[in-house]
Amino acid sequence: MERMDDKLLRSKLDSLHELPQGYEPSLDSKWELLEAGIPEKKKRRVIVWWAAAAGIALLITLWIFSPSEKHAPAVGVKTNEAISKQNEAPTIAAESFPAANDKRSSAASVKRSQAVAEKDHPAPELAEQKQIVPPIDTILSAPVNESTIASAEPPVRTRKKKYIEIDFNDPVKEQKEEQQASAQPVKFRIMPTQQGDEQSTPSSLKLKKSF
Amino acid sequence: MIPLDKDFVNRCRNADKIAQKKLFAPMYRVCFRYTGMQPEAEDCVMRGFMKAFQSIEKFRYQDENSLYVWIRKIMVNESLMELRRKTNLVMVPEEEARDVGDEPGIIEKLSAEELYSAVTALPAGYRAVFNLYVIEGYEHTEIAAMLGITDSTSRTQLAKARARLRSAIEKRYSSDGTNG
Repeated sequence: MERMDDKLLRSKLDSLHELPQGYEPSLDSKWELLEAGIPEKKKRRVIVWWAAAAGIALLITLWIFSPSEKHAPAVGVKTNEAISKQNEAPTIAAESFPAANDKRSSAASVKRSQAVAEKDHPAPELAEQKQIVPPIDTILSAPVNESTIASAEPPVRTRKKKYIEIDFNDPVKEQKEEQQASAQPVKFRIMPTQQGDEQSTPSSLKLKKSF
Repeated sequence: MIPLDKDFVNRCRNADKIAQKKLFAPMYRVCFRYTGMQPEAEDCVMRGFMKAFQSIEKFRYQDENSLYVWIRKIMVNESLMELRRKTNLVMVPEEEARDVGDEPGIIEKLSAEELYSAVTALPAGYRAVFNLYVIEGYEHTEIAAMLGITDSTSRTQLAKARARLRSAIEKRYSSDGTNG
């Protein structure tokens, strides 16, 4: 059981919130020692946040004021980076879908996302073709010659026949035509026959070939 | 006990040095009441503050006294550890067991500072039990567990502490009476 004098003692001793008189060294000097030991979590966090914000601001300013935008060749480089990022996009899109309990639905959703991503972003080969095309400013500013135009025209491609056309309806026809083309004209003339021969040979045979 | 509102607690959480500094003097008083020596008390305050402010995120505000009570508990634990480490909690042999409260009104006559110096002048063992029982409000079983003694030892130590305190106060009064 608590006694009355205990309450009084407690209240009196609890009322002392100041340092005793003649306390040396001073509270400030003691506090400096204490301060070194007390953790500063919040300050560190604030410093980290400030550093992150400053870093982002620096990156943005570098991106805005970078000289690559003014010169044409650098645009190609930039587009390369952009294209490479775009090429990476489908995989990111696929990863970004949360894993559902149903594997089928998740797989289907990933496929759909990949299809959409391929639509939006060209394949790497096409992207490379894009890189070859010079910027439009350089094309417009370049002097135009007829020779360059001629060279610019695409060459007419002639197909070489790698096979012989055969008319299966009349295979002999062509052979005949070839023979006709190659044959020389033959002339026949009637020649006077000799007396001795008149009796031995018929008149039909009196014709003599003259080649 | 200092009332510490929620704003003060938040300032302490945000490592506000002014707010933290406000707690130094009362906590030094608590530690000195146990150790009775300035360097030891300062060490206890140092360690106690480090522990308190490292784990202040875990502290849950309930009322205006909750932070003060929480930090004071840390300080008491640190002081008891310091006592165990540096001094033997010598349990003084039996003497006469007259209580402080035998003569009503004697405590009222004393100022807080006089009472404080009288308590801090007690032997380490008496002081520890007296502080834990009278000021902190622990039971004898709890005190016994904290100090590694038996219940009966705690009781006798408290009785002796009261008697010693009474005689110290009487001496002071008698000297004041003779002087004044």
